[in-house]
Amino acid sequence: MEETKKISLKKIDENRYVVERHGAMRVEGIVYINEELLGDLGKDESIRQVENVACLPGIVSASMAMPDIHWGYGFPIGGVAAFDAEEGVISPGGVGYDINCGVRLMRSVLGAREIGGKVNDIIDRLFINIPSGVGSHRKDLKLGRKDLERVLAKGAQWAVEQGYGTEDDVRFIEDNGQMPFADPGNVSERAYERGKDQLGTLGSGNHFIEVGRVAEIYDEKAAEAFGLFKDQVTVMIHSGSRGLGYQVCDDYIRQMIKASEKYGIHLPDRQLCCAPFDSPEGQRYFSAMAAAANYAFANRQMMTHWVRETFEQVFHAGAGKLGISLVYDVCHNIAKLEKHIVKGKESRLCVHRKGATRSFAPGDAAVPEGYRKIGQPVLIPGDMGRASYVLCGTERAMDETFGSTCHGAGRLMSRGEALRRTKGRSVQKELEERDVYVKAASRGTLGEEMPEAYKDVSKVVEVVHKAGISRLVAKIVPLGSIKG
Amino acid sequence: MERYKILDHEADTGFEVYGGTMEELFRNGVYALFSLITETETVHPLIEKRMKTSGNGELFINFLNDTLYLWDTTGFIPGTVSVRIRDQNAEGLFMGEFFDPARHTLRQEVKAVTYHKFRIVEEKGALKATVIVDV
Repeated sequence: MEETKKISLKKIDENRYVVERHGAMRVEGIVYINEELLGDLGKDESIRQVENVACLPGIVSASMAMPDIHWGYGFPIGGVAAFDAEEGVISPGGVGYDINCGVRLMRSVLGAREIGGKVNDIIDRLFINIPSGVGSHRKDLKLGRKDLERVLAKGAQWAVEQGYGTEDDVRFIEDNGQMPFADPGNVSERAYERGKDQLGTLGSGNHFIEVGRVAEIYDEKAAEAFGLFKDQVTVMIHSGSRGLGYQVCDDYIRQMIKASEKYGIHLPDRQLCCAPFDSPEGQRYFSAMAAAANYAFANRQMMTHWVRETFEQVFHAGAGKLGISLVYDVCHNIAKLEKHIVKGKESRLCVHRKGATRSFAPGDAAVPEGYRKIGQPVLIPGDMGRASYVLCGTERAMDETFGSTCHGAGRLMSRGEALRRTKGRSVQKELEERDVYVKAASRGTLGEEMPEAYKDVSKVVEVVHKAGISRLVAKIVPLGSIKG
Repeated sequence: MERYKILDHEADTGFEVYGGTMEELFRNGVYALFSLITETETVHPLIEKRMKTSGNGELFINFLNDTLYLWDTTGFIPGTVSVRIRDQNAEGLFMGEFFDPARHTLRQEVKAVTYHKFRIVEEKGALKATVIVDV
């Protein structure tokens, strides 16, 4: 790897830094971070990536990054960039390979006491009921080409129509679990082929399903609106569009490398390849990406159904009685056509969030009615051992970050380093000592995903809370999880 | 000569691949990629698979992503690889077998081979490619 060249970040306040415009940058860079987390970035090249994104045509206001920023081929992870819909670009690298990788949080009526000694049983059964790890899938699920087309067009709505969950669920998903502009016809045969056996599978790496307990409430009113109370049992699902999404991304990067040349767009890095949003190439990618995003929504919806079934098996009670319902479902890797006020004028923008979460303010029509006075729920998973957070969107996010905030903890250690450090150790046992029961498809995953491999998510959410781009509502601690 | 070296990065993984010729570089790229996914040493050359890739200027990356597609859709692990390159086309002939959880171990899921920082350089009369993968 190359030595990192010196970068200059200037402090604006405790939680924000600016990369002043220089060279080919069209706008400045703004990084939401504090001194401590900045120290963790070390030799990381992610700030350079913020600069590179700032060079792309039609970028508006600033190339932004959230406190969980880390190096991420092309665009940084934790990056937010908005491009003018008429003059700007869309970039597959600005979304990433795992299109609509995202998080969903479910609540229950159960208190931690009622779940007592049943955590292990729940986790063991989740592990059986939900395919996780490379190559596994439900044997009872066979999807034809026509079915897949419907999945890509209708997202979570398709899953509900097939009996996975209820109509009520989709009201609590970003875009109601069905991205507009999706065109299954712009998804390649190869992507279909990769997607046909992977719907309703968790995947591996950092994907998980976690049973947790609400450990702390910071905002009573917001928590009440979100249906959260102290010691409540929750379930979080973190997964995405699987091989179908990876293939869509790769297919369009191949095309966009050519498109960038065609439209004379200079690229500081090929992974930033892009096309004007309003061009045939740009629109084709946008519609294929939306279709892949719908696949991810359907994927999480199906797993939700199996989570409910699992709880029913363990508690010998109907799902209704256990009250397992959606708090919300957010995308972490996505590009969206949104309207925002830029310099006092309403503008149509293509907002890229790569490892970032939408954080819409109270009153926004996109926020479900029951939450509209509070703001959109923002779901931030942490590592396996420490905590996850629920926050809510703010007016300040609308003003400063196109309604965006952080998405997670961010890696601190490379996977290889984590594996070396856990050699000879049992991460599973160590977690059990902390009262967290974990089951993983592969032992390697546990090593790579050990808690210390990540930044402390508490520090990450503290920055976005203090900077005012989302507000803390509740803290959830893990009781157990399944990993791929 | 060393075939490849795995690089380690915070968010993702990568490798350096070496080869006396372009064909050898491609071949070793496949070995490096699959060494991240599974233990290639235990793969028997039982089944033949052929693959043809047309490039977009980055034939090497395209070729590796196509082998990944083959793996993801069929579970095929290449044990031995030979490659022929003409203009912007690469043909791969693989001998290997399908993944069998009883005999093979899985290391990790590789989502894609990225274009980030990709380059092929000539060093001491041999070729070297640097590649970052998304895992």
